[in-house]
Amino acid sequence: MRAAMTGAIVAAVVGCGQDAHRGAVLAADARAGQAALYAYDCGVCHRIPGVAGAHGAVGPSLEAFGKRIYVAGRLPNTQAMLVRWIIDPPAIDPLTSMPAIGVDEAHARDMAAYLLSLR
Amino acid sequence: MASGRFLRLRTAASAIAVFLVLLAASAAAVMYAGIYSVAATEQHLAPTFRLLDVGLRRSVERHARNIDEPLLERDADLERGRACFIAHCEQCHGGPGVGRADFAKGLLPVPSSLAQASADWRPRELYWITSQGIKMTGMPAWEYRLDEHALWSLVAFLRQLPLLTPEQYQRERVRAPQACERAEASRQAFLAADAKRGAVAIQQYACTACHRIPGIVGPQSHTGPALTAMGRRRYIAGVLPNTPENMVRWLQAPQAVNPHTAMPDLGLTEANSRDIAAYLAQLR
Repeated sequence: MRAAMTGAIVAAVVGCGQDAHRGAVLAADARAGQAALYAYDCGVCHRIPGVAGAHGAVGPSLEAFGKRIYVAGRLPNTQAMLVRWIIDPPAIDPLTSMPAIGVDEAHARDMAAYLLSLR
Repeated sequence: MASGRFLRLRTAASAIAVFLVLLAASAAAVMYAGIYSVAATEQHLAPTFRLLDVGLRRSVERHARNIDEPLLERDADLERGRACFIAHCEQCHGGPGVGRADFAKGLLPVPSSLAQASADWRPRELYWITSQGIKMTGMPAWEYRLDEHALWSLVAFLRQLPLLTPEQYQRERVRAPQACERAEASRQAFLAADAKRGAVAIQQYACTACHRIPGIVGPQSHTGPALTAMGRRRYIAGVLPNTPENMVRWLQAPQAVNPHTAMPDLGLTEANSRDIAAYLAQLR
């Protein structure tokens, strides 16, 4: 438990009720995440509401991603899991066609915060 | 004179219209306020129950009226019907001297006693109910699970059921049971993939429980990704190139493609998978 938290700053626990299963939230800035999703060209493959030019149809649409139960059809959609996935998808699923595009952890956290805010 | 009658008619018509609008509005208000209880512990009012029951009977009679019944004595297999009954019906409906499973006791409406089924329904109606299921009762459509021969064999067995004593039924239950399912080629196997059939199959395999799928009414689920514009998607499950063959492969055995996926194997036949793939491919 403590090990899982290492490196993570517990900033807040948002919206008790429906989001309780999302657990602790890593310090992050959703606004910056929105910009990072643009800067890393995530929209080439994904449709992402609020990100200019993000109309890709290679991967699934990320609309309402904050409501999604699983990441990549297998990981529980928590912020920590999503960060791991964004940084290095093949490390989690060697079969995935989503590449590791060199997102650093701070950016990944911000991106995750933005994606989880999509309802 | 004539214009006076016209005026009266118009007044009456507007009064009725206003009444209907108010009625609809108050019904909507009651629903929206959550006043109506959806609890399975609260039985319908007697008139409501009667109305639904009559509607059910009339609907089944009408929809089954053009079904040609085979000669059950010749074409059906009682043994197989019994095996299907024990495998798929008894859990909810019980049998002579055999109670229903716990999950079936709390269902509303309560699953009927099938010992009485053949007294209540014609064979073609029993066939139709079993094959198509009944909306909002918990009775599933078996058309996608059982072949034609199994369905008619079940009907034949239902006609035997009231003639069995509890002892006889118990004896038949413990006798080495013949399999209900048979590894036969699906009767649709030779048909070309068809998106329209795919739309029905999508509901029959519970796809909408996890996916939002354009054109298919269902819960707004976020368990799996929405399948919006699936026909334009480059990959299936982030893993397979999105070709019709791969879609069929994925639908039939997701975990063979990716052992870690949360998507379960729903036992789709190849014909159903091809129809569903055809439906998904035309989503743009």
